[in-house]
Amino acid sequence: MHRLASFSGSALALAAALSLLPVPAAAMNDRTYVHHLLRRFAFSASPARVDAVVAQGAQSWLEEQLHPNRIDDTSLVQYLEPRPARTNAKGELDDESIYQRRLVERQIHSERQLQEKLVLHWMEHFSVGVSKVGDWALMGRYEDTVRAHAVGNFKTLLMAVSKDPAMLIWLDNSDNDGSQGKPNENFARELLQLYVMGTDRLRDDGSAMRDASGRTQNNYTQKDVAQVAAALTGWSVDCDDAPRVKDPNTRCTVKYNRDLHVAGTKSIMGRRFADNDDPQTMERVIDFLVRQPSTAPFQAKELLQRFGSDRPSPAYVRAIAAVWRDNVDAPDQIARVLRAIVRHPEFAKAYHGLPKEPDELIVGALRAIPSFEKAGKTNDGPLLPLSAVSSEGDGFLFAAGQQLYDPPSVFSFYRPGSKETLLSENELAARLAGLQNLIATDPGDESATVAFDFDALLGLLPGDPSQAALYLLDALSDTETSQLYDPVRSALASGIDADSVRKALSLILMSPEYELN
Amino acid sequence: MHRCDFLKVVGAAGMTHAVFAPLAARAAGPEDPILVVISQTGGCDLLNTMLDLHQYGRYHDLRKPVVTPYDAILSLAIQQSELERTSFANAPDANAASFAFHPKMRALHQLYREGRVAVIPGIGIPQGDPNRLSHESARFDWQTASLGRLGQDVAGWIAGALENAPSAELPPMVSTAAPLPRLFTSSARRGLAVGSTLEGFAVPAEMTDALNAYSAGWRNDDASAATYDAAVRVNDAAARISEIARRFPADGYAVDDDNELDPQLKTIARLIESERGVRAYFAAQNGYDTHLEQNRTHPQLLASLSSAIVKFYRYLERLGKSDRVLIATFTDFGRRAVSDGTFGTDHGTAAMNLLIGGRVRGGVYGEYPNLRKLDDDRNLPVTVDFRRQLATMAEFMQFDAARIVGPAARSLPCIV
Repeated sequence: MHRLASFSGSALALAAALSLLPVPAAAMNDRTYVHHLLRRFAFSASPARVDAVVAQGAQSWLEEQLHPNRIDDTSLVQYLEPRPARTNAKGELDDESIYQRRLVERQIHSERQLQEKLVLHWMEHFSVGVSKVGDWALMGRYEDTVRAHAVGNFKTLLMAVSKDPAMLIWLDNSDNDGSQGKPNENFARELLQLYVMGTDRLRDDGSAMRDASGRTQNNYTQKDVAQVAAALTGWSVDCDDAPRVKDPNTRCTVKYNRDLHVAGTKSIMGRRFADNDDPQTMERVIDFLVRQPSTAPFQAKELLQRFGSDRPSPAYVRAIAAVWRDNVDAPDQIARVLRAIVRHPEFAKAYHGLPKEPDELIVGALRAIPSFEKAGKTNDGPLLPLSAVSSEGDGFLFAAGQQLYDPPSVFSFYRPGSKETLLSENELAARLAGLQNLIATDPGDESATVAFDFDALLGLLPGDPSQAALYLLDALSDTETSQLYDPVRSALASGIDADSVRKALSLILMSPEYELN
Repeated sequence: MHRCDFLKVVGAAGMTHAVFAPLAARAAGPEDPILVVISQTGGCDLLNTMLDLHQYGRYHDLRKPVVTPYDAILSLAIQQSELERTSFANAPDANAASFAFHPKMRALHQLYREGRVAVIPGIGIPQGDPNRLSHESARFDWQTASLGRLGQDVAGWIAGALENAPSAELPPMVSTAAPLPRLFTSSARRGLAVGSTLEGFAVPAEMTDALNAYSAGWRNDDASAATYDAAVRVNDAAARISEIARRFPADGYAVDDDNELDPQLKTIARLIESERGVRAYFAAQNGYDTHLEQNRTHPQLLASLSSAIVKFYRYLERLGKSDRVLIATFTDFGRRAVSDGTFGTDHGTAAMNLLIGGRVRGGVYGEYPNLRKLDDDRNLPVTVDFRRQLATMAEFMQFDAARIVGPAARSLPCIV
């Protein structure tokens, strides 16, 4: 049982006094800071894990997470094996959305929490959808590509993504026949606009440059888009369509096809690129683009809006952009940037200052509260059920508008800084309904494959309603600025059992504060 | 109110400003005009949606292999005699075919023949937005009536015009697509995103209990305030939406599950039927970004668009409300005049938008782009500034159009 050493009567008095104020950095105790760090750099954690990180030290935990390959994740690997796909009762390959479920299970169970958070981040930055890629296994391969470089170097990641089959298919660069002089510009445009630098020229603090009349200035023109498109032609995916050959690493290969390439010198944003029809052209163009002046602030701001603050100050962006640029060739560039984000004084001030994505809502709850995962109807292993995270039907993430493997378009609405989907009323209603379903699920229900384990939770909860309320608030929100202490305590006042705990969990999980990271 | 009457009112009031304010201050009633905006998201091709038959040869040269065969396209031709207000007077024979809709747009073609559809081929964003080939930027322009100001805090033009409109039982702007579009957002006003069906919108009782525990001013940072406000909006709307869902089932309105617009327009029809004071609606149909193998998907999108709109219009006719409603389609941009290297088309300029309603005088408005006058990027010339469509919509809504689009953008004479 977890001891609630930090919840004294004075903590309660403090809670009342601070309830209208954001937590000032100086006043933040170690435990609150660890919660804050784990909401951003992990998918939250149970109170027991928070205790462990407090004991270890927040900075030490972060250093560990910045080197994921040094973290033993054997239990997860055993949990997820065998990969890639299982067969159903008829012996047919059953790959419908298994990969997406595995992604969520990694978020719940992996010890490499920061790496998984970055996988989520990059899969939303470089969003690719199975609806067009048409193959779950290729999506799994794409996820692996992103994971391999998630904490490393941005340019290396971008190169790997640009040559990945899923991206080549998603933005039409595969089989892009430039030989007639009119290559498809889909990938080139999104590369410039969404993946690398954005349309507007940026100052180092992330604000747009303006001319005397107040107009923003463009990073590139339509001619530049066309020239980048021409430079990138030639890369194609070649797949063996024989049935049963499902391993995406052997079934599909990426090739440079000279016949499709637009030959000749390219002129991109004022720079001439000699192009001898060789596969290195893509590399040279990408190397040029990541060194453009707008790229560092563009990338810094996006990482800040995921890990730091919804509205980072110009100084915060400038500081992080400098680290990004200074380390543009460093193999651990992304790790260095993340370290700088945490060490900046604005990080602690942004406590509860970011909205959670639906994925983080459900994964955070399953990590914080003991829960069951049982064998599903269509699976023989301990996979999360379709109903919890499926991209189809009435799965939680589908209902909540966040299909991890199937974003609605090249604009993932979950890009940091685009909160409109999160604030859309129907989406919020759907998220709440999904959480309510999870709370209401009876662990004894044969058909249920994920549920909170109320027996285990009751074993952890203190017998006193006030202390039990503080335990739940600590696990899911916080104990200092929460508005929910009174109603949660009231819900538990008549006795702590599965029903009253359900009611208490509902109050917290339905609240605005649980929506915040 | 007829357009000419509106102009008289403007004259009598002495200044256009004064016309809008008193209208906004009173509660919306069952006479107020209603706007239904449909986004053809992604950038719908003009040339394969409506074709100028006089330019078929040039079209075929530019577009092959992404073309519609001549025989097929003739099936939904518009005769010269069916045109109004077109700049094309070059066909001497009134019965000669002049334009043609894509053959999949049969339902819409029929409505056109009934005189309820105004077609605006050649509409687009003029030079002035250097990013007009960007999805985000182009959508932002149309939804804010501005040029090239993406990233700035510019209000949606409908949200701006309805800033002082009272909230009746529902906010005056409702979207069936999420996220809520910029069109329905300003710093002072926000529409409501209900989703594609009314039945999906409900909140658990615990949410209300949780919200009741919050004191006003809980935390003062942006993220908390936005999250709290969203929860309050959901909580406020849920009971009303479920009551409307119960009382206005629109049972006779059959929905095609494969048509993204169908359930959205049915939801809008039910809300219009319920008369809860909503002035503007937004629905979206995705999939028009046809870089790849356009002819695999684009015809079906047009079929869905056409059948969903006409089904919706017929329902409004049965309700006796088709004169009060103006349906307006818009799309990010048109497509490039030439096809690309993957049997598709890239982002372009001139597109085709529609205005449909009981008070619409059907016809083709504006000049169809000349396919021999492409620009350096092989794009079509824009012949109608998109703000002329916005001005027409604004006047229908009895907004101050000049304040929204500036004095230079004249409305199209298609509203009677």
